[in-house]
Amino acid sequence: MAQIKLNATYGLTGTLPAVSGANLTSLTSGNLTGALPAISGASLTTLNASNVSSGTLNAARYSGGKILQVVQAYINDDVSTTNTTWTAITGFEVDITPSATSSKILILASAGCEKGGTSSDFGAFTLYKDDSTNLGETTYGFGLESAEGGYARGFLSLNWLDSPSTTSSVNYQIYMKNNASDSIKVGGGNASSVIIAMEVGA
Amino acid sequence: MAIDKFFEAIKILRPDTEMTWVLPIETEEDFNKVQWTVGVDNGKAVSNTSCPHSEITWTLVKAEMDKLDG
Repeated sequence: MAQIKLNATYGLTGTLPAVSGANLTSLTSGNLTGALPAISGASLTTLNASNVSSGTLNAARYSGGKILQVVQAYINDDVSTTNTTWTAITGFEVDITPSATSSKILILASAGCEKGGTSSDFGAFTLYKDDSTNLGETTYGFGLESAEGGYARGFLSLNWLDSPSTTSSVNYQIYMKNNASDSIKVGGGNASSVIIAMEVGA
Repeated sequence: MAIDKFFEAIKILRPDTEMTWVLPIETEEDFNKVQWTVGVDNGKAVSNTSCPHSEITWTLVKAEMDKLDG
């Protein structure tokens, strides 16, 4: 039988009887020492994400649709060409280095554009990867700007989801050309031509 | 559309010249940055800043641009 003695010098001594933890109604954490027993994470029902301050989550713990990085570039130049073959637009390009071979790269590009010539003339825009692969259709690229009435102004909006399968730097650049005579231009009043590359995790 | 006097001058001196330029072209320094197309490689234009056409020099281009101003 548990026995507690009252001593005038040391106060209470002896061994406490086994008591239910339910009776410890005002135990503060400051009085706790020692190691916690192994407990299941399933018991942590109100853990706030802001309390997780270190470590790296395993990729398997979160699923697709992640934007891992975003890179943007732009020019404020009026660039014109009379070329009838695909012509790189200097500065209208972006470099991105994927963090995984399984990542996809979403390209978004926009610019004002102007086309001069006869009504049967058109200009076209496309997207090249690493200055070697035309990601658009061979002749028409990603779209046309016709020269109705001898001159037309339009807006270039180009989107592409690429799977580069590399962790090396990849370059994406906008090209333009004419089908025949006269010229095509991006910019117009030095308006901004913008290209954005987003790495999307698998 | 603002008249691109440089382009108009080139069309007078040598129609159908293939080139790429950044506006404005107002000085010889600007002119020397024009990319003149000299060939094609796998569907892409090959160009450099050395004009291969004897009909086109800065002096001649400037003269035509001045006429357009007049």
